[in-house]
Amino acid sequence: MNLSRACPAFSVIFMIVYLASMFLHPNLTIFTFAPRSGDWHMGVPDLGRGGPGMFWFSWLTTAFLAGLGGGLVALFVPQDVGKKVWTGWVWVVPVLLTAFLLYIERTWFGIK
Amino acid sequence: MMTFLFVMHGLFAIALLGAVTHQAVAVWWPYKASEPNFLGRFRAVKAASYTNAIIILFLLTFALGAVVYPSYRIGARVFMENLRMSAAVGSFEVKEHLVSFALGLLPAYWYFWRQPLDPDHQWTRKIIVLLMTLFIWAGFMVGHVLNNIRGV
Repeated sequence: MNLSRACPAFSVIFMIVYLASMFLHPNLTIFTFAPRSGDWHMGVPDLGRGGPGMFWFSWLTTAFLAGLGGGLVALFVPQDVGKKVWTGWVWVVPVLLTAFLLYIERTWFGIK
Repeated sequence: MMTFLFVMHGLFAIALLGAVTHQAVAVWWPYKASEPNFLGRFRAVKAASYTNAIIILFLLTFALGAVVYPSYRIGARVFMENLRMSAAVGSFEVKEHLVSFALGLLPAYWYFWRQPLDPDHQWTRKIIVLLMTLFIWAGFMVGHVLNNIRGV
């Protein structure tokens, strides 16, 4: 098993898909957790007085499944192709995603 | 029970902070024999030996955080929203995403920090541990301040 490709691929895909799930909510949200009742619901239902709903668990699940898939695919990438991929992507991607995250969350802090 | 889990979450987070800070400082600010003081001794650790402890502590802290999160959502967060403490609520939003990034980064962190260390990946290793340290410190500081505003 070639972990040199699978582990970084998992990490990069997990982070991208996590942020995409959050940013594109509700399009990639698979399920909702209702903390008041402790119930799990498929999709993003209107919980009414039973709300609020929590989507974080769904975003993590989506990201984990995507990362797992990406990691498995990376195992089958030919070794010579895999070696050409720069390992620095594994830190460049979270740096860029963090910058984007701070940008999209800026409104909480009164920044327009 | 939730209070106990929340306290455990905090205690594991403190242990995690210590471990990841030791590792980051050891690689970014290496110990020199001419500095036999407290700061020097703080940095004079074998950085790679912290890797598995950091992974286990992170997973424990994260799991406990996920368990107490619903209590925050219907308790502390609603309290802060009613007081229009937008920055406080937003800080937690940023925290949850940063620790999720750190969770995703764990497999790569484990791979690049497993022993024997590959000298070709020295910079990747240094930057990944720096990112982990920043994410973990941000999560801890936000959690600590929000708990001072309103505990779970």
